[in-house]
Amino acid sequence: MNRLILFTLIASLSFAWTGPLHAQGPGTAEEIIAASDAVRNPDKPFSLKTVLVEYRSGKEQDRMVLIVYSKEEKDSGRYRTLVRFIEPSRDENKLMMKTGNILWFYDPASKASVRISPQQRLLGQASNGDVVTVNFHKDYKGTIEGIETITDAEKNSRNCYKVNMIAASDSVTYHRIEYWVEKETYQPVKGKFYSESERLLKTAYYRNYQEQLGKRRPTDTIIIDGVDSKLVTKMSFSDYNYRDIPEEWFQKEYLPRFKGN
Amino acid sequence: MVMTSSGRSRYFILLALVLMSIPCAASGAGADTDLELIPEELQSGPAPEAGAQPPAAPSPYRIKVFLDEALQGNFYRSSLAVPLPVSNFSGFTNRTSLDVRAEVTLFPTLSLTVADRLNYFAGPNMLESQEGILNDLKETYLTWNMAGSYFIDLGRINVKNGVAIGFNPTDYFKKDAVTAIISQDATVLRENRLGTLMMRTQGIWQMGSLTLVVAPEVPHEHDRWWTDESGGGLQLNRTNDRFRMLAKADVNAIQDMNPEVLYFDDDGRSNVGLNLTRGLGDNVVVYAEWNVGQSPDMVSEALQNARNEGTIPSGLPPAIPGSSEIRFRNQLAAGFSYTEKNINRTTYFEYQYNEAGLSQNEWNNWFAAGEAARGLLGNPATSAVGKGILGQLWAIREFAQEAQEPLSQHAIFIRSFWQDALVKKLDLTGIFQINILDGSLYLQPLAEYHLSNALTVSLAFDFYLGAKGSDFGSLPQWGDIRAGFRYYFY
Repeated sequence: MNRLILFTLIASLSFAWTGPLHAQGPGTAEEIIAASDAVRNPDKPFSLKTVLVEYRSGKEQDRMVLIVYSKEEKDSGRYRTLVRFIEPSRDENKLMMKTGNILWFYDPASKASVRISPQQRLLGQASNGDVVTVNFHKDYKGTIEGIETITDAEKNSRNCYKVNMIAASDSVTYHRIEYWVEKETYQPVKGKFYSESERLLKTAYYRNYQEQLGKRRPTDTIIIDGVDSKLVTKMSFSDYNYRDIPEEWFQKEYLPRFKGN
Repeated sequence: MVMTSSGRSRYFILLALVLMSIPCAASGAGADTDLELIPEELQSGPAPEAGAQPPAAPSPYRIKVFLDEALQGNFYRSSLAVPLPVSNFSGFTNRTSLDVRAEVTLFPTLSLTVADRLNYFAGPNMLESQEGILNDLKETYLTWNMAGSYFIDLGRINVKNGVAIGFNPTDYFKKDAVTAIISQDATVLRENRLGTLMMRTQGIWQMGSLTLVVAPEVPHEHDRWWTDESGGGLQLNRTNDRFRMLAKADVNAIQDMNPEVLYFDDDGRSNVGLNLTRGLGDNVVVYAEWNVGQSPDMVSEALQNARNEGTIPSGLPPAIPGSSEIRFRNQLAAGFSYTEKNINRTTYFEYQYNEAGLSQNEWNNWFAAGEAARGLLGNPATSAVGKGILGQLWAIREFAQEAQEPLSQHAIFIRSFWQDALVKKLDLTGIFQINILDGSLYLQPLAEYHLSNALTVSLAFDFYLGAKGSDFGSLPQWGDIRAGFRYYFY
């Protein structure tokens, strides 16, 4: 009988264990995060159109349209991003450029380039880190916390790895991320983003997966504010295209010359 | 009830299964309450799959047109420590500006840029030169993209240098470039200044960039189409009154420092400049902008400038002593920006040093000379002399404003910008400029509300505060209120 109890306990543990798996199972946390990064980010330099719409209690409050150009840096594996503002009119043709943790903001009206910090937001409720292309596996250390079945934003059940990611440096936008990645496809389904003081900053749902540049990628992200949950931002991604992006585009001095060609 | 051994075993098995199953149930599909936070309007079904769209060809032209309107009420001090030689106080002024900026691709490697601002100024007691229509052709230049990232620009170009916010020692083409001081905010003035006639060549590489600028001197002939300041002229006498040359190198050699080194030849006077920035964590950026250049001190240069322009007689002895010795003098703007993590507010703290500016001793001289001139005004025989002295004293202050340089040697500048402050679409800005020597200060609170994507309304106050015998406390105006709007057509 004691052996029966022992067997039952082991069996129960193997089914119900939700603690760290580390390197066991189908992949390490790093591999899972990298695979989900590859779902969000095309493997060659690309551009896409991002439409950010802010809602308060379901009512549209603000709208911005951006063109985002991204290119992976060979040495570091991190993306460099150039963001061109299209709407609203008052911000048209302003530029934000990010290389590593260096961000420059250029205003054609004053012809001035100003260095800004990663926390300095130009996009309403969305942070710069939400808009630029980010490879999480380069900036975070992950641990698999278990496998969970959660409901995605389209009300479908998804069997996911739950990955806990801790920032590898203090210069990233979020200190900790709880991340749900579908086990079969490595598609990110949900993320919860925390500050250093463990305050929930936002919850994100990745949805409307479509075939874009050779992979099914999320074309919508719904971001719920962690403090004021009535505040919701919808980010829609379209017009994915591989682009020839010269290195010079990521020089401060190139910003006044950028025409989006 | 007494539990048997096998009964206890079954109980433990059951208990173990229940306990182990708790985490699964808690994280199960039905437990995600976050989903309920997505409003119904955003819970639409999947969008139809979009086919691959080729990248849109860049538009051959980019144009931006907006109308800027500002009505300003001015408030003046009843008495001044140093009176103005001529008083022309306007109780209110109105400015309406139509601003156009266009970039047109003429050929694949050749483009044209034009930026113009048409102003209409109105108000009682305004000087004739300040009233009516004034057109500022800010930029007109051709760009030839020779190959890759090699460019040649030719024409009137607004070249801006420097990483600081309130004072830019390396922004060499700023002097005299602002035709109308519509705000004390340096960022506003940068939008509203004249470019310089020049040829610029630039190469940009992965490791940095190199820029060379040559700006010629135009013939000094008054009231010609290139010098006319009465409304429709190019006002090139403001921006091209002497020969200048700039060489600038941006180097990506030092990680996260973005060093920029400049050499500027100002009609034979050498300047060397340096710009540095560095991030600290995710919400602080520190910066430093430094220049050392050959010049006399500000008192001497301002008086010489006024003599050259004919605003003071050339034979008059200086009202206060200055150093006309042309030697290397330092200018520095160093500070940091701090972004608060919980609200979208960024504040810049900047220390400003201008070695050529007024020391406390020179300020004492300025007020003493003004007091002496005041005594001369009462006597018809000496009144003209008194006015001559006052003209010189105020010419020094006007020179600093037009040169966009701090009048005092030491100053503190603070600028705070709060986006979506208190309510959505309301932006608040606060600006402080503090004279460290006497503690007087300039203060500007500004509120802007974006009524729509195209229309922004604004309300601003300017306060010049301090003791009567201080920098800001000695200005004729103690404050103003300014209401306006900006409407973007394109």
